[in-house]
Amino acid sequence: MTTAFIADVRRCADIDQGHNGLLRLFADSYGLQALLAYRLGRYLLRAGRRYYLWPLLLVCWPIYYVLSRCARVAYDIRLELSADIGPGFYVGHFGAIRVRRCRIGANCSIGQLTTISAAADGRGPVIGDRVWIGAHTQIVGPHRVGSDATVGAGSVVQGDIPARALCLGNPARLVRHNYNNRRILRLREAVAYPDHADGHDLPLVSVIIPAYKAEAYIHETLESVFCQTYHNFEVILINDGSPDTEEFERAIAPYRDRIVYIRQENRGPSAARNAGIHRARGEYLAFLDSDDAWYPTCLAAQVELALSRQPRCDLVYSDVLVYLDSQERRYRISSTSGSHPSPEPAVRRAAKSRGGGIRYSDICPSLGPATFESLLREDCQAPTSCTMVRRQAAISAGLFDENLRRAEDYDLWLRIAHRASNMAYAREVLGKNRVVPGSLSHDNLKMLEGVVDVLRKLSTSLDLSASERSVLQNKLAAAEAQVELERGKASLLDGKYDQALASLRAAGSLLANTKLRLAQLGLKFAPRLTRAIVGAWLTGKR
Amino acid sequence: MSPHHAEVDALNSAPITFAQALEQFVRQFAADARFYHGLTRAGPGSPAWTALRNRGLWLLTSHRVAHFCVRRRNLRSPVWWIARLCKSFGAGFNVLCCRSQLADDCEIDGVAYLSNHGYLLCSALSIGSGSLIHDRCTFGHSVAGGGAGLPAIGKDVWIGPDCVIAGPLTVGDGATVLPGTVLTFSVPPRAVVKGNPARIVRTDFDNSQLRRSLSIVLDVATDN
Repeated sequence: MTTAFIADVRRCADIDQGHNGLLRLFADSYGLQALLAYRLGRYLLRAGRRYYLWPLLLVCWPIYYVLSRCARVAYDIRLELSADIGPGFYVGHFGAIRVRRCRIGANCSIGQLTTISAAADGRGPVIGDRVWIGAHTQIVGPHRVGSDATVGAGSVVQGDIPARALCLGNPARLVRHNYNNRRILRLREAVAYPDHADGHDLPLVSVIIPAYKAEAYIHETLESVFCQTYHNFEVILINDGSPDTEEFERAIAPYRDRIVYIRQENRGPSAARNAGIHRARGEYLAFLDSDDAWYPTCLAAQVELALSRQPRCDLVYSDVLVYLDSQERRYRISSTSGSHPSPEPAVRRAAKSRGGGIRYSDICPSLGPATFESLLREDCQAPTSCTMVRRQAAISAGLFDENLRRAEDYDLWLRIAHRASNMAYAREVLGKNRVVPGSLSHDNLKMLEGVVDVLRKLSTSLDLSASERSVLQNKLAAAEAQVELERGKASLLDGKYDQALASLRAAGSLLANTKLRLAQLGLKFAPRLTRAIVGAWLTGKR
Repeated sequence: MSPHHAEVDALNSAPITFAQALEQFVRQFAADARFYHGLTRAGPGSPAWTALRNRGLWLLTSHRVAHFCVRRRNLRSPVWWIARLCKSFGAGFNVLCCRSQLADDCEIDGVAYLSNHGYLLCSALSIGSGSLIHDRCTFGHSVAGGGAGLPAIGKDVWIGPDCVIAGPLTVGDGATVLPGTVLTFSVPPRAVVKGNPARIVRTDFDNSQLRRSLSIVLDVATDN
């Protein structure tokens, strides 16, 4: 509390250059008074965990209550405790300032009549460091504002704002890309641009983007890369023999001088990524699919996490937002890399109820530390588009297997993990993953078959310990059962009852499941009726 | 320095007695109260009652005192010291009771309506007589735009709620700024501006109807 508040006071004194002493400064800065109450409240929230501080809380909570009430009644500044505000916060003037359910980085400024809060669904904005937010601004909903961005007065933010951008208007439009807001934030030089921001001692990251029939999405994808708050990266874009090469090259023309562009015959995503890895010079490889996008802080957060361990992490991954695309996608590279059920029904439900996406971790939660076994058990799952790998680790693990068309990333993560690597997981949502409506049941089956292939291959090729082998065997059996189940469902719906029965029997020997037994019984005696019931149940689930 | 300021500076040297100052103040206050009374037309029919219930008038009155202090600084005059004392209380009073801030050196010649609901943060150079300024407005520097300078508001201007007027610009006499405008350029007389970013939607519009009451008629200038 004290360090954060001292930073606030320092910031306020920097801005209010002509103040006459700290006491006078405090009396004149209404925002500082509100911040005092806020910082006290946040401290008390944290102190509640320590029982020996409870007597203190008994005295301090009423003080907090009175202070925050005063700030609200006198100046109408509401900094609620649900907001997470970084140190060095400055509130300009007073009146109708509402900050709740959001995260704000260090050294930000806001003006009067500003609302920063969550939308009705409870997901709030995330605002980076050193952001200047003008008066009369509204940032409501799960928008991300990159570090060093500037939001002009009167703006109504209705989408993500990249780092260092200047946005104005209602709805807020991007006016300038590289706007230096250091002067208006009135930050001291050292605070405004920390030494490492230039990236001299930070690792180079090679961003590898395989593309196939991606003309419609590539602009958004590349834009999300060039908006990163982390600047030390190179982009390698591999055109995997796409039939729409002409339009594609037209779409990427504005970026051609900033990227490495490779064209090759169509050999699948694995081969395309491998070609990119051969060309890469960076210490880390970050993979991004051509129809997905990153949030502005993606690389910065992942690099920070990777460097936070000693030795540096070999594999870092994070949560992504999976959302339903309204447009039909013609080709898709796998969006999930395991045998978990396809996320589509869940995403569809989320889209229906909340009008947005769903976190990847809601479908495939990452529990516990990321190790080889937890990856194998799928306690932890890395999405392709938000995973960063050390180049040396990928090369010594043997790159992507070009024979695999599905789950090839799962295969590589497992091989990297097996070499006693250290891995880390960022719980933040750092990217967006498109899912297309359509018949994913068919897709799901192929994905499961891919997983079975991977596990079969690994069980012979890797040198496993006894416990790892047993985990792998269990996983393989479960995946095979899932495949049989999916096959059974598919052939049942197609009306091939004999095949369906055989598949379900095979699945039933591995999965003890009452529903499955009932389905088998039904199939034996009343196949058509069962087909109707199962069909109705499956569509209902979707 | 504008000619207006030079004129005021010439006045600075002229001594002012307590009776003169009080008379000036009361006359001004009566004029303001009559203006507010004409606009609001509510409550019992005396201007005194209007003076009590209009917070915009409190703001205007305390601004008169503060303005006197800034413009007629004279350490030897007891009148100035009394005004200075009132000004110190007035700043806090404005924030706590009127929920507004008005820069001390803003020239308001004649009477202007300032919102009763507050949230007005005004550091304009001048506000012309007969102007109407609704609540939740901000006049000041254009910070992100980079230009240092303050706006000057002309006579008979109507400014709707939620407006931001920022930068070194002039709002011409008789102009109309529709609600929610973010204005960063000068507006010619009798023009209508709206939107964020602002644009001029009409060039010759008579806003005397609008300025007759406090009701906001939104469809006045939406065509063209």
